[in-house]
Amino acid sequence: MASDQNLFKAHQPAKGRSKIALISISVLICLVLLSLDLGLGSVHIPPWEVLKVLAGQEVENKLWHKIIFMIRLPKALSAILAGSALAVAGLQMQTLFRNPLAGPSVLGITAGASLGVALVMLSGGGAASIYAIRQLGVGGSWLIVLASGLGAGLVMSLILLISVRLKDNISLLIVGIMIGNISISIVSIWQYFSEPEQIQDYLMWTFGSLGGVTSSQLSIFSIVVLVGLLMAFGSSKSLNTLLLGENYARSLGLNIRLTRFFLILTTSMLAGSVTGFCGPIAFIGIAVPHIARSVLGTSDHRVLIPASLVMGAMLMLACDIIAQLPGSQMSLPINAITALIGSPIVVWVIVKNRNLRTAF
Amino acid sequence: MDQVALQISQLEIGYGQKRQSGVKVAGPIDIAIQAGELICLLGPNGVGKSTLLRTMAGIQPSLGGSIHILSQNISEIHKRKLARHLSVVLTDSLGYGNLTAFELVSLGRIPHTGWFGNLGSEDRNKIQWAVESTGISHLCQKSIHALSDGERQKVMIARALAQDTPVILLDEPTAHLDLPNRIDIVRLLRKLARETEKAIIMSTHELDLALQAADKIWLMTSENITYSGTPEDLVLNDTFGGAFTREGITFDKTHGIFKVVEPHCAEINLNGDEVGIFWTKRALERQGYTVLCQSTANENIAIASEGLQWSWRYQGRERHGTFASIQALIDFLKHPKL
Repeated sequence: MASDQNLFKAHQPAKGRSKIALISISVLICLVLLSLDLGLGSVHIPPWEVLKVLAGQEVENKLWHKIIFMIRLPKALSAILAGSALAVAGLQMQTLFRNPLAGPSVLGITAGASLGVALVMLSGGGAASIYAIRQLGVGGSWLIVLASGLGAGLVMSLILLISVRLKDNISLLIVGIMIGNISISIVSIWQYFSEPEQIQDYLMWTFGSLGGVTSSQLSIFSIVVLVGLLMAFGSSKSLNTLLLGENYARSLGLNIRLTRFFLILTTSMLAGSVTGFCGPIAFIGIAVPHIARSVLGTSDHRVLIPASLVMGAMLMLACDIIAQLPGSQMSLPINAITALIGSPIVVWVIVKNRNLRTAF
Repeated sequence: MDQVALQISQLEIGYGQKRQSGVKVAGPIDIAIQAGELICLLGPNGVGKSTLLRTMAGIQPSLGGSIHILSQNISEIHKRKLARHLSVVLTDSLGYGNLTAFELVSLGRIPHTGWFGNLGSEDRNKIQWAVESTGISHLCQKSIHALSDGERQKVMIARALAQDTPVILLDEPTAHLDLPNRIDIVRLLRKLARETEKAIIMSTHELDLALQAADKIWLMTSENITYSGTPEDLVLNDTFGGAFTREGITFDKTHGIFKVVEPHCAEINLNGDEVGIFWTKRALERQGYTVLCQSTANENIAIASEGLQWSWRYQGRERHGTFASIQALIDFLKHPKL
């Protein structure tokens, strides 16, 4: 049994330690980015003063306290929640469909949410909604959250209903993309017959916004995301089994339909809530799982889920900092920044690993 | 040794859910497997070998009949429990995933581990044992994409072994492999069946390997398992030849091999030592000669050898000659005018 010990020493603990170290470093970077993010904006607050405010100490400028707790902390927390939720949702979809280009939006859930929002914003008598949007900023109204939640929920129910009838996952992927296309085309038709101001409101929403989440919304947002993340973590073993493909997974005793149902439900909760509260945010869900796999060199979801969670939060915070355009009064739409940062990262991963097949 | 591992009764296999609407591929099949047996499932393409294996593995529903594994009906036991009784090696490509060979073998423990999939000491021992019995210790750290086809197949077999089941099903485990690797895999399965008392069923197209290694052969033809038995019996009573013989292919009972060309040329007589006769005969038969030994024919070849120096002396009715290689001999025979 001496060789037994050697084999396991050679294959397990050393790698395990380095993985934990890498994730710990990511958490640290996350914290640094968080304090940077809290300090940056139209009013500059030095990082050490930010830490003081967070620690509950008195600072010279009373306004800073208010800015951080009322505006910047909710925004930074939204970034963390959105980043980790999208990254984990994307990881689940990539494994379920065994497709490196899958993301949280492939099931049409994001498109469904957009449809819900479009219905509210573009409907003729939308005075109330327009008023609400003007009052709270795009993405900040309960009406929008409700509309996108209903839209995402509708598409999710449809997908779940179809998933029970389908035998293989690839068919489900195609059905999801088609349902997404239908939602988007309905929105286009609606836009065609809408007033320019309404279209502009809708366009503003599609740019995405982390700043619109109010404190009361934040609590619901975080509960939904935390439950979703816990569910995802609980499905680690099923996801690992799916790495072998559906037939092997079945032979290992996995109930494919039940697993699929559970994964769609989790992804819908994660991606749907992010779209509802922050608007559509692209590319985090596709890019982060690739970064996590590439950096950690593993396909084990017990490691990949926490890693994607942390790295998603990290990337989203970084995007938010860039969107602030440090040193200026302006801020850029977050959805454009995530794609701008996310796409080169995906290209880098592909080039570094020669191809996605081995990277994935 | 006499314990029945798997019992198939009146099994009908095919596609679709019900007997009426489904497309039947084969059946009804009645057959049983004892523990410790290596069974080779032979049959032409498209006869339903893979479908039978998938149905036995519970991946595909059957159209009728029943399968009992260790006296339990597989349609009645929970899938997770079935996964502790039966493991598979399929032809499915693994596609994505940068798993190492070791991680892949570890996935075989999934039916035995808890909800989170952490490995206990028994799991570790079984993985260790699976890795050592298949001789893949040196591959453990490699990514499965860096492995050759033969190495990957051994890793997949190790994964099935780690699952620690009394029955293992393999769908064409020797496809796409070169001869040494094919022999390696079959020898490995042979050893495992004998040493671990597992019932192993593999489908294959390697007739010669199957004849040598299998305890029993299941011959699947025209929608059923028509014959099952010891390979030698199947050869002696002509079942084996009958099942595979087509135009231009004949089964040579004496040597247990299939011959591609039927004789159409003259008879020729060979003299010499055993090895020389064996190979010369093969070459001449490929050219269509009927080769006789120690008899009188119109044409004679005497084979002589000194160490590795061979010579063939041909004596025909009209011509004669001596040659240093079979190639030269054949060239001469093919072009009588030269």
